[in-house]
Amino acid sequence: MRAEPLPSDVIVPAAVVRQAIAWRVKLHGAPAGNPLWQACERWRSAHPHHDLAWCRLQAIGEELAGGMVGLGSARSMVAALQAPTDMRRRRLLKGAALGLGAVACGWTARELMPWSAWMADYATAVGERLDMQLADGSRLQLDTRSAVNLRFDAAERLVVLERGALCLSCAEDVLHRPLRVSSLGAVFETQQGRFVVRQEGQGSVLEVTAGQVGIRRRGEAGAYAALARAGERYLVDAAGPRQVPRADIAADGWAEGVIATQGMRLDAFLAELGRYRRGYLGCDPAVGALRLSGVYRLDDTDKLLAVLTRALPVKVVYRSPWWVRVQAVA
Amino acid sequence: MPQEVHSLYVNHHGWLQGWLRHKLGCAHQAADLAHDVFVRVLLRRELAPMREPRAYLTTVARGLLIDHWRRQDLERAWLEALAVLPEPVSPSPEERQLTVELLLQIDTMLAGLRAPVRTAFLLAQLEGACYDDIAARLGVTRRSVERYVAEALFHCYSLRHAC
Repeated sequence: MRAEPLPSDVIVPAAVVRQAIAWRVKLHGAPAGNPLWQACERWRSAHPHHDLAWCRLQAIGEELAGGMVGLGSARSMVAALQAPTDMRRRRLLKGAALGLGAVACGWTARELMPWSAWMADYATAVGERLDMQLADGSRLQLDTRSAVNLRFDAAERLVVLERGALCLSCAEDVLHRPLRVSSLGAVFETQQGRFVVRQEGQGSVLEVTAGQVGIRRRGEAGAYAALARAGERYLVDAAGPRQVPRADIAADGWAEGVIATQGMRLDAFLAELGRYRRGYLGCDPAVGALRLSGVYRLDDTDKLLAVLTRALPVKVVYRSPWWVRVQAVA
Repeated sequence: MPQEVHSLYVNHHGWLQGWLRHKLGCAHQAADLAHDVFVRVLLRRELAPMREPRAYLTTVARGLLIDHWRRQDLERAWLEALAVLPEPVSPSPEERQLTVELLLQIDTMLAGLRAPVRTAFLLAQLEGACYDDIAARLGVTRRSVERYVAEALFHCYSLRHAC
């Protein structure tokens, strides 16, 4: 396996960033069927820098448009952002470090809704899940903070996972079109089966629960790079697809509204649970290695945290509804 | 609570609250902000031994005060904008808190952009307005709007990543 530098360290040439921006500007408001989208897809898959620049711009859009859905009128927010700053009070703070604001709000960024979700066909907010039937009869479920675009045409049934995780139960298609899921770095294809795709880091994880799913790297055609069967789990990233051991958490638990674990570490469990909550959910390292097994309902994560205190020697400390930490019982 | 933070709290919490009360003119807000300062200090991993703990605390507190005031400005402007909608909306406290945090975050990110660039970008990104509409509202050409949006995107990108 090649050693890949961490994407957060990669410096994309400014010229490529400007190209990516030009694509975004060009595609603003273009309907899904517009061939420009396909041209842009081709540009993105032409070089890893292209895709990275695109994804980073997308993440920036996420920070900006995050949380807009369901939060009232965008117009009022735009109006508010044109509000003048009351400078009289600022003078109370001579030599104030204006830069701190940027640092201060950095940690809230990750919990907000993405720009892709703002534009996507279907999207969920933090803690939300979605269950629906597609035009071909397939069942599509979306996990917390996820977004998809649907591109069904005569040749294929394409689901583009823009963010988060989905679970698909593929229905047999009268037109015999393959069902494809395009995600970070990979395209998954099946005619029959049920599987979960989840974006993690710069790659995608596939777990098949029924049938089988072919895997291609994005931008490649022809034979599958790998074929995943029921019960198997694959990671696909820049290094290509490879089978990985199944996790100590059921990949499709969320689709049933639960986290189902078998001997999972508490810190890993809380990291998973944190995806369904806004704000900070921390774990005291002193209790991080405790193990837990069981099936926990996701409907009410505060109740779930309270249940933990009965199963393990821990307590849950709330500094605010948004700042919660699980600690050892003193 | 780590030992350093504990002693910082014991020795300077009262003083910090007094300093904030003086700036804010409100004991409740001062107590809340002082609490936030210590939460922020706790969240910072690197806590080198401090020679000037009060200077450190006021630096953190200044940043939070600026955010606090800007948050108030944004919230007031937002509620005013909501009030003049054809069907006035009254957001729940949670919606209010979420929205104001989001507004502050966007505001911080766009600080330093020229007014038309900022407006064009906001209309495009948040309202999803098409470029022709934005051009009409700003009284500029569509080509200018595209340049404005691109400039703002590049600004945001370079804040987050080297290039």
